[in-house]
Amino acid sequence: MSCTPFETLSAYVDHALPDLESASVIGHLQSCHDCRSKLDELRWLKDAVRSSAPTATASDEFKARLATAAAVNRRRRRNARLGTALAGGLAVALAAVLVVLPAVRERRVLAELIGDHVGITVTRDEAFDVASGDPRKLERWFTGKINFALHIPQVPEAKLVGARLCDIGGRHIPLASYELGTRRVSMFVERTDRRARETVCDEQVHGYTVCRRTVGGIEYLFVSDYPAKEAGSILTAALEPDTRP
Amino acid sequence: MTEDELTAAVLANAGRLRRFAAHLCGDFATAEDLVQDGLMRALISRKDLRDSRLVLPWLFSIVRNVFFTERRRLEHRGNIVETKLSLVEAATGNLEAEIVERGFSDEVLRALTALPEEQRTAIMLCDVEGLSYEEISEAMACPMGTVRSRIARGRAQLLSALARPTSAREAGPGVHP
Repeated sequence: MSCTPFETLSAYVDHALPDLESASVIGHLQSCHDCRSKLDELRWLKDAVRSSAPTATASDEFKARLATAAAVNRRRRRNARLGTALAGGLAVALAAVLVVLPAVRERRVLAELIGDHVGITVTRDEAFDVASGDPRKLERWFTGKINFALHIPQVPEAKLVGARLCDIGGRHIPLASYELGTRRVSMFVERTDRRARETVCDEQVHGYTVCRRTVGGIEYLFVSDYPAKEAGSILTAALEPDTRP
Repeated sequence: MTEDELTAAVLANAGRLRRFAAHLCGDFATAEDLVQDGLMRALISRKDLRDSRLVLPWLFSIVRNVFFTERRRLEHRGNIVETKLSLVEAATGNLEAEIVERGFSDEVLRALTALPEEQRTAIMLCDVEGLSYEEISEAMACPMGTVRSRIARGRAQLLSALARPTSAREAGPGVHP
């Protein structure tokens, strides 16, 4: 009778064989010294690996950190959902009231904007249209897809990772994603008729900070979870005159 | 599974997830970050969990994916060695400190780190975490046959690398698994 394959013996040690195959192995082991030796080695090895591992411990501090992170995450997503629902509901209810339409539209746009920031930049559940750290390559990809010449800002100390053309409130708005330290941040870029304005930030936009600045008919919206003061400084620095080689 | 249930499952298994992440990345501080990132991803994609009985393997798979994503990101930056995000590469730096930090025994650690990641992870999930082949196939997103062969190939390599102590030979043969 031929010996039991090593793989079968290994699965036997793990109780992972079907009953029939297991019975066959047991029968063979009764009469095969070599296979019994191999089995013995496998049992020893399994025990050695198990006993070599550290115990599974988690400090109360670590558990508290996890619980806090889960709670913050939930609050942010709930706020984003509520914001979307609220803005959407208001848009329908007040469609005829021209005076408030811009504000409603703005809220809805912001809710969608935050949703895209979370889905594309933070969780990456939605793929980039183009993944690259080269701003010129990203800008080329947008050529012909938007009606203005895109300039992707260099966020100081951040790594550019990709971009996507978002559909926000029926408008096509480029999004550039960056990694800044351990955080992920987004820059939305849109043409606007507004005059130039300095950086303005709002910390309470569905749990995120949105900073805006308008330069040369282009509005830049920087979305992050930095405090407003810090986020504003980052956006301002990013829009300093381009120093690309 | 609700968000509360999922969070509770993560907290109940925080120690195992942390140990598994440490096995992947090489240090417990980074491991805790991986588990936290994994929790965030799990909460967002919890609807992907079809069978709540497989929540632990599913969480292992998410932590592993987070590790790969992070490693790719750091590789692109070219600083993977500095941040110790590879068990094998980190172990080449200050092995003694690494061993003490991780709690793995010296000889077994050396042999384990020499294995390909798929084999090492399959063996760790089986022997250390006590997962069944079905659960490991969920955690590693591969068929059960692949799990079986990865474990067997890894064990064959470990046996050839580890000198088996005499006392184990003297323990005597037996046919029970």
